[in-house]
Amino acid sequence: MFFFKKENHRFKPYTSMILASLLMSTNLSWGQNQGINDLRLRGTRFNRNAIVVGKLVGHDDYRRIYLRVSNGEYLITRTGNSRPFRVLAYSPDRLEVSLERHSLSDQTDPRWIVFRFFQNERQLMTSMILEQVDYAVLRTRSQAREVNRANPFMVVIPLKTATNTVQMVVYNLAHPVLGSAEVRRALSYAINKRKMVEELLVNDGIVARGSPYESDRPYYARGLDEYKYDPKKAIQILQAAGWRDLDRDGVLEKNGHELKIRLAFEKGMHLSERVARRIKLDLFEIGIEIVPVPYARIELTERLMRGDYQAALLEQQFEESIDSLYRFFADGRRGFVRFRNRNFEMLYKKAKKYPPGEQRRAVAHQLQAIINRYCLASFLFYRYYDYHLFNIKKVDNFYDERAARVKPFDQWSIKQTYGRK
Amino acid sequence: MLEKKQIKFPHRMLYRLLTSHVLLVTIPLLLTVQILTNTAQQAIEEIIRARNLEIVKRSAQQIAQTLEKAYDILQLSAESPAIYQMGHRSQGFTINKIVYEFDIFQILSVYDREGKLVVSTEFAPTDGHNDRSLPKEVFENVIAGKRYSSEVYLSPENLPKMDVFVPIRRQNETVGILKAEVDLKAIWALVDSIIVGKKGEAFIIREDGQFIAHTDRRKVLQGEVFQESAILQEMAAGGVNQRIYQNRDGAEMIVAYAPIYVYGKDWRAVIQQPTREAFAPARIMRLQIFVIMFFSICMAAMIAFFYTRKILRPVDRLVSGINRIASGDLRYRIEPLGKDEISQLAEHFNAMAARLKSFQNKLKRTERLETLGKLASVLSHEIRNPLNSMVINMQILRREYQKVLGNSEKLDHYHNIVVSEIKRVDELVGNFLMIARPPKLEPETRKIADILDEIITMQQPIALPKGIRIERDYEHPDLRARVDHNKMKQVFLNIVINAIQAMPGGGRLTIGLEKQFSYEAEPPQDMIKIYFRDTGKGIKPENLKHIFDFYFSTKKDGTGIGLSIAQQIVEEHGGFIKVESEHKKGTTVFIYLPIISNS
Repeated sequence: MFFFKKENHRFKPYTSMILASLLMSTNLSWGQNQGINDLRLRGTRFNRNAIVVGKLVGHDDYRRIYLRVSNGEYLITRTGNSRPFRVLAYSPDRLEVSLERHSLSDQTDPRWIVFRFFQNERQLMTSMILEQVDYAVLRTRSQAREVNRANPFMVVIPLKTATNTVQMVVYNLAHPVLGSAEVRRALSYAINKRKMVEELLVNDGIVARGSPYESDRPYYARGLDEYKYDPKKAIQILQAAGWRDLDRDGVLEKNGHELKIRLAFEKGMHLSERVARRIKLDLFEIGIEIVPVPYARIELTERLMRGDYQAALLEQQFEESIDSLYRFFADGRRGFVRFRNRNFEMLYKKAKKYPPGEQRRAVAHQLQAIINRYCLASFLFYRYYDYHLFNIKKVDNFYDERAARVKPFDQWSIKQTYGRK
Repeated sequence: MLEKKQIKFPHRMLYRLLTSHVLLVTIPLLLTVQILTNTAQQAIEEIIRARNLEIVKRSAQQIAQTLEKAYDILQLSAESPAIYQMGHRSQGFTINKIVYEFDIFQILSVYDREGKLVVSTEFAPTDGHNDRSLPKEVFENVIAGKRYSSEVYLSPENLPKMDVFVPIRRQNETVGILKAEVDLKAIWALVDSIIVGKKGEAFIIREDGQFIAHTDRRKVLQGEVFQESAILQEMAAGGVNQRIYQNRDGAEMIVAYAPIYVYGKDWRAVIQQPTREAFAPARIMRLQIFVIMFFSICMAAMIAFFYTRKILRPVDRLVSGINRIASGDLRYRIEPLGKDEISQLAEHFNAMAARLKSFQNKLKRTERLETLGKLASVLSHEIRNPLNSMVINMQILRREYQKVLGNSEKLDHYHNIVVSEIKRVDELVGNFLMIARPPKLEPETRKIADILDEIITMQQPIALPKGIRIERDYEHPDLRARVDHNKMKQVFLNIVINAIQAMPGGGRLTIGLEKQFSYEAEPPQDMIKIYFRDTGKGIKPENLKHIFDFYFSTKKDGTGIGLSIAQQIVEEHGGFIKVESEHKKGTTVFIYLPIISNS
């Protein structure tokens, strides 16, 4: 739930989003009941039956928040009468939902789920320490430990990150410089991915091997160029492509274009910031200037959809299907890499006729080979864990040990002792 | 009343002894414990104070070192050609590298000599209206070659930060300014690592008491201030110190503080803990010692009670025995009480009672013998002389009658009867005189076994036809005594004859000889013990106490003087005689004689 679902890859302008924008512009609330304003949960942390979930604007698009309850997972902003909840408040910094399944007599049932959006992880961490947030997910162990050390009631449960969730740099092929496969390949060779895993993740992850799929998955295509760190090779490629530092300012040039790239990344995410800085340092070594630019998730998504970007640092989960690869990389309404390749299109269309299974997987391998050859993205690493933090002073019954995952919100319970002196 | 006192006596002793035992244990124990706990408590408190002081000093040093290190890095960077000589891109690379390498720097920025931002590690602002100019006061100070640091503040991301500005100098000329946004999170981590019990807290405060870091991070994030003004004043005086004070909530706290002089700021590292918690080990130790002491006293009291009772139990029995003997029962003997002094006392007391009984018997006997002696002197003159005269005259009378009547059988017959009766009376008188005025002993050192063997040899032919076996049981056959051989032989013979007569249907007579210490002897000493144990009909208990009485006999033809004479002879030899008998099972006669050593 904390990463893009397969639908997210499409980045299509959903009807719900338009509707949401309309609602916001007309200052209407999402609730079906006019009395909901009375239920507005200002100062929710003092309301013992509300679960406050911390979200980050850099990572979560408030219009694309899913609510998982016992009978399914719902996109909150999508309308529908059969949903077991009502939306009470809806704004870029707050999303309030009332669960309908709760029993009024049971004081332990959560009645409201409040999603609060924070500008950066530090603010989220502070709110967790101050117990203004009951549940959130952090990306690094050190952050989770810091919160837990400052407030021992915030317990940490590390849960394995969804399979094939890769941190990568995607390139806008429409960009005059990044349109060159040589430049993209040089970039891939020049980024020291191993150092990132060692220094930034403290070995809490694994280096990607030239594919969005993890190398132990059946969808992983063997024999791909892993783009291991090789700055000399990167320099050779760039020189062969005619890039020179003519004015000796440390940045390569060609035909009057400087090799200067703006790298969009998720705002307020400590790990992304450090990865972006590592990339900047690595690429400066071969004469490429990277200008990292942080964006909120909404803006980043919109820019990606519009093609208004040069390179973007993303964390993306890939389903093991040809659709997943095609939607992300191919040209068309859904993809934003805008890769135009006849062979790629042909393979995809051919594979669509195959039944799911071995033949499709073989095509997926071929698609990966093309992505790898043209270096549509620099795949960096996979994180091992997400760090889920829970305020155990308030909430209980939140974790399904057998399934090793967080339970749906309506199954959580609020501790009787919470909020009572 | 007397009875009551007698019962109470040992109990009083018990309580006195018990009390003295308990006091003997308790008083030194209490004193020791008091001294021990006081010393230990002081030692523990001193250790805790010293520990707190050490922690706070070390923390202050570490914080100062961390920040000084950051400053050094900054200073070195500012003096590096990579900053003052290179172009903006290289400067950007250098400062980005510093930020990447050193977590403590959040943002580094380079300003030119006009105070305009040249390059920064801050990611490109998306809102486009960040104020990036330097405050005038800061600019003037730093461009003049001084370094400058701001107060600590919480950034919008809720990080404790401070801005540090250092001049970029080239050949003693300030060519720019290097600004660092220093992330003080490292201080938080350091403070977090200080563990001062459960209720203790460690924190860093500014001069005005504002928390910069606190183990309860909420206090920093909510902008709280340390409000103990007295402590703040003391801290303002500088130095490292620790003391105990009462906080606003009335809780007694032990506080230790040390100054942190860094970037020209005057901060304080403080740790404090409720004394109740800090000194809990001392309190627990004291409690434990007192509990142990209490149980020790209880144990000591219990042990003392049982031990005293054990000591007093023989005393109790001794006292009751003394009471019995004092009431006249000289035959009563106190049971053996063990091997200690009280037991010896009991044994001596038994011996004393025995001697008393013996003296009493001797006294009676002496009184009797004195009377008999007087009677004997009368008898010897008044009866024996006439009897002699009668015998002589009977012979004369017989001779005269023979002259007249010739030999007459009748005359001889009657004459013999009269003479025989006169002799019997004379013999009786002789025995009586022997008792009343015994002949003088002629003692000589003899082996008792030899005398016994003579008797056995003499009596064996008489005993065997009657089915009686005489056995020897000489444990010490060489024992010697100074005895009158004939008299002692008479004693042994008398006893053996009595034994044989007591076993008309046959049986066994065991004659034993051994050495035994006797308290009944005067003085108590080793004695020769000779015993004659038969398996005869025994003596009835009512007769047993009369067997040494003169003329007491249960036999038809007994004179009743044999055992009396035997007792008299034995006692004249310095010994004594005892009889034990069980009716229908047998009798044992014990003779004790003073021993003569072989040497």
